[in-house]
Amino acid sequence: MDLIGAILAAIAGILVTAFSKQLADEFKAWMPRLVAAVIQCAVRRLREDQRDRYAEEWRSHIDETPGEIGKLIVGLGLLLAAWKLSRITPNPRAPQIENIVIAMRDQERSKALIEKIPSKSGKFIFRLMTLPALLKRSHIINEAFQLSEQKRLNMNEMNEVILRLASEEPGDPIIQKWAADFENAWEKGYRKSAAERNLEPSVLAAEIADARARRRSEARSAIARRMD
Amino acid sequence: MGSEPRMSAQTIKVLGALMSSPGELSGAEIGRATKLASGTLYPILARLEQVGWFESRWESERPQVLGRPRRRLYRITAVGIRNARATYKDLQGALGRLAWT
Repeated sequence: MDLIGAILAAIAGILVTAFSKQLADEFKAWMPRLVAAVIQCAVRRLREDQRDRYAEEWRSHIDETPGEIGKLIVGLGLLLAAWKLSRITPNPRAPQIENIVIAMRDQERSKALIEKIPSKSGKFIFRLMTLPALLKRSHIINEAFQLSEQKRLNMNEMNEVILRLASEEPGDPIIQKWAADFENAWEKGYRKSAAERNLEPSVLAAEIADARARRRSEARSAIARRMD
Repeated sequence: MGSEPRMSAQTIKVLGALMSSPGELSGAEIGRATKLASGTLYPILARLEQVGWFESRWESERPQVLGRPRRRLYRITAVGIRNARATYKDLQGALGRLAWT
């Protein structure tokens, strides 16, 4: 029995040695691709204008790191670095918030104007004449959607721009509607979150006014910082 | 230029590495000198660069000539040296007070 056990142990040892060498070879062969994929994944988390720089810089960091495991550890750390970098670096496109809001408003205005033109040919000529402006607006708005999907467009700041335009242009129905919609939605959300506390209506109203003033002040200073 | 960076122990290590280096250092070299993980190091380098305490540039040789990716080299600026010295002075003062209490 002891002999059989010893033979089995020896066979198992040989198999483990053979396969571990095979596994180690596989690991070594796949490691550069794995590390490259990790860097690519990290870089994708960064702002577009930072990607080329960090892709090359991080490839060189990995290149300088000895050992396959070491390279992988550095690579995994870069995922964390990319996440942190995407949070600390200001978005250079954020100053475009005003352009985004204006483009969206002009888009609405343009639609309203087209509806007023009675003939199809008139509508066609209007569209043709305003095509460059339309393309420019569409580009800005598409970019804004992409930024908001990537959570890089601060909606509070964007709404602050809308509120500012609403106070500057009291006769503009589109901006006025957006401003009112935003304020109503914000207040509804606040009331919902405060519902559990069963506050007196006057106390709640005062709290909402305070929170609104605080939100607007924070958004204004954030916009000012971004415009520096 | 932004405001002051947060003076964490890791930030001080990175400042120390660049202050004590005669020339420019790559991210990997700073990582080795400070023993900081890449996930901590690069956000600190970015913050210090953002506030103007550090500057960085690419190696001048092309990657084809080097046979490897170019390194990004960091160096501390005059503003960085001034602010880092002020920080060390503050820290020394604080540690001195701590020793006497």
